[in-house]
Amino acid sequence: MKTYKTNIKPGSATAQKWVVKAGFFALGRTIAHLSATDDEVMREIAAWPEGYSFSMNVLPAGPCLVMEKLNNKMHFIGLDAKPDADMIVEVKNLSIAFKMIMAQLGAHDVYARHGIGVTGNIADSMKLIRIIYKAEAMLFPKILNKNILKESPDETLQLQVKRLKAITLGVILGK
Amino acid sequence: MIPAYYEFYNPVKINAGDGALETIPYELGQMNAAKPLIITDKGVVKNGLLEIVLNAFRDSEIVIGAVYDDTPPDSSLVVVNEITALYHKSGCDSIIALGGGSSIDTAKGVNIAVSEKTNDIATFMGADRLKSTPRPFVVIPTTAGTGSEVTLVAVINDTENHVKLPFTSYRLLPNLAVLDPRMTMTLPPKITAMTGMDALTHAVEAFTCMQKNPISDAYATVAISLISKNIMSATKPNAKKETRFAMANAATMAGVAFSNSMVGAVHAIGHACGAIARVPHGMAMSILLPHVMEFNMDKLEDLYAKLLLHLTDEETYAKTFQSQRAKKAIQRIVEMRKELYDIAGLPFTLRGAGVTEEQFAKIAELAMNDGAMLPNPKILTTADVIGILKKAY
Ligand SMILES: [Fe+2]
Repeated sequence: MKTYKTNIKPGSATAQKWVVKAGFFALGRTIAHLSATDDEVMREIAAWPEGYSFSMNVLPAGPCLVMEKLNNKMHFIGLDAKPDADMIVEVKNLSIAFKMIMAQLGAHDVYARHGIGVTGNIADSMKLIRIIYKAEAMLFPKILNKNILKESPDETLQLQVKRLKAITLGVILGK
Repeated sequence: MIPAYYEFYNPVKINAGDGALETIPYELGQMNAAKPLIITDKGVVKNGLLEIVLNAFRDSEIVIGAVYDDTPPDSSLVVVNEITALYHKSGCDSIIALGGGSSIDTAKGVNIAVSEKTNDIATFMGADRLKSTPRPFVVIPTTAGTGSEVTLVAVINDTENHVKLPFTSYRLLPNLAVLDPRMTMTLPPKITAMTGMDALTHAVEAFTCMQKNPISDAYATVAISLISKNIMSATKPNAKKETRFAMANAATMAGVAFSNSMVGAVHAIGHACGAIARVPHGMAMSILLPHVMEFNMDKLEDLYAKLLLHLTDEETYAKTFQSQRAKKAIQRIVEMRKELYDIAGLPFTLRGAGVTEEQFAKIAELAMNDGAMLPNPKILTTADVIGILKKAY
């Protein structure tokens, strides 16, 4: 009798996972930077109480982007799940998170393809989407962000300076 | 255009037409249910609709476990818990919602409480949080608008903390929607007009918002045709059975469409008008729809142009230049509103609906954080929302 393979465990997408980890690190630090320097982002987080935290989890096994509000600023806490976060946003699989980090899908596209689920307050998740949106506009130049933003901002000198600051001060130095 | 990826789901069986109510005992039997709880409201009872429904169970094996007829116009956690206790006390095994949006949402709340074995459904708020198999669930709509009989959404009020709790889960979808022409015959003209415009808004937003797909498009466009051909005659006093039944079908189809592709800015702003200025939902939809369409015009012109065919007829569509079709589609909705004002007194301005300009800032702030803003293909700022409110004033 022919034998068939059973109990197949299809391995791990290690490379994709590392790209998403790096992307979440950059996204987290950009959001942290913007939360102290960008008027719009500062307004979005104003209503959140001190210690407010959110976790964006890639299902089924991470990574997770965890951030917390301390001293009126968002801080990038790390890439491990925080089950007691005030707001948990779940990205349904790694391939969607990968496309998001590679600027192939924007926050709205991910939503449109039913790629995220939210636990917690809807108004808070709307704020987070707007913050991520702002961070995407900041991190990716127009040539990349025009495909993923509903409206791509003009590449002014001012925006480019802000981007340079976000990348050097925010992502690299964590300020 | 087919999106790179999409999802569509509608497992609700639809029994529609003459004698639809009489099929319920058989359908309950198919679901192994024998003792349903009926959730309804005083208006439905007063109009004699409950009696018609009860008569449909004559000579069947089914025992009606209990009838709860005190559902308020706004569903609440307290009422959900009260009905859940009644469900258990009377040994029920299934749920029938008979009424409009509130009775249906309340019934969805009761189904959560019963199947998740909880007396605090608020802990299941949000998307995809339900894990247990729901009880057999039949919906008999008595208005033609919300589409709740085929949607995966329920909104329950937490009256203590003054917040609306949204629940979305495939487990909230009813097993059966019963569209029986006898159920919408007594709907007053103004309610017919409002709920019809709500259904039209569902279909237009479903056809143009970010989760749209070829299957939801099919439901949305047929719904729009049915509404534009029937809403006027259905709104007139002594409207014919056929036109009312067409509206009921349209509302259900629009419900299937938006349950899969979501609604947009009309709903986001309309929800806020309801919360701040108590504007009834359908009235807010009717007032805001053309103004939001105008705002979205630069992004959605091609799609609006296609809608002209469904909002009018082949001849009008063919005679109109492509460059004018989108504008004409919006114009047609503006005209519909004027007619509905003449026939049923449905206001088409925010002023007429009792909104004051001082409320604009609060409405805009609330609208910005409404979940329906996300699927809108164009981003709105607070200033954009205020601009729309001013135009609609
Ligand atoms: Fe609606």
